[in-house]
Amino acid sequence: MSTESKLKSLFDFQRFEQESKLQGVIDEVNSSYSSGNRLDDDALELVAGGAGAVNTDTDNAMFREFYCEKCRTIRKFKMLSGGRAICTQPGCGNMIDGK
Amino acid sequence: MDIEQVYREYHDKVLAYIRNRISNPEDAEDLCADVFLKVQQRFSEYDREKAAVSTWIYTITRNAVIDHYRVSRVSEELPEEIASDEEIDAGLLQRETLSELADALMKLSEEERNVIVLHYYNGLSLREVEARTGLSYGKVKLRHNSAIDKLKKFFSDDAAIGGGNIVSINRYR
Repeated sequence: MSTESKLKSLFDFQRFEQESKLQGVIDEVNSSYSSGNRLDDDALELVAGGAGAVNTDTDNAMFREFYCEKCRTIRKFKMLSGGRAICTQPGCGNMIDGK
Repeated sequence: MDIEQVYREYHDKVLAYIRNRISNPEDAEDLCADVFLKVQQRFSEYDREKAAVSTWIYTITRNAVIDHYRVSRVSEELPEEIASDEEIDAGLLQRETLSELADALMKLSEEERNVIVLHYYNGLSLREVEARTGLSYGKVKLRHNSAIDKLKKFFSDDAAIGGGNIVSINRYR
């Protein structure tokens, strides 16, 4: 078995066993991304599916244009909770402070 | 441990695991009942020398979930973590190994640990990990690869981890 397969198997087994020490590590990682550090589901869908996943033309209130450091050009960003914004360019996913 | 004790001790774990994998609550309840029917039917065949009770019941449960997806052809995709047909080392699936994995994860850098947990436990793609963590995609891949290298040593250093008797998880179907 590869290391990747072993990890997948062990983490799946963990879902059953709920071993306390490993669960503590998992909870700590997830809590790091549970509020301000975490993207909402729409943003994850946006990154996974690209700009085509969202109709940027009909919902302009949720989008603003900013300079994207990763794309090195002006791009349309989706506004997220907490004033953050994410680049809608497929495969980019650059997050900035959109305030 | 008799069958009634097994039911009392493992019912909640089995149901929680199935509910985590199958969204329809009625299907989950039905599958949980099926699992305990199989456990009851095969209890006399269970060999404690080969696997702990917990591992045995987990493998029956996991295979029941896989069969549910295959037989009912539900629209949801089978979770990648359990989709592989690769044989699983029963020696690997022990509670102690989970504790040791926790220790190994704590020896990684914070970024490496985050990438491993988000990718392998939460099931996010590396692209989704990028979005979740704010790290660049290149960094996510670097952290993933360096963490895998370190964990490879963890798995190979400990003869007890992954070095036990290979027992196909399919035999508990």
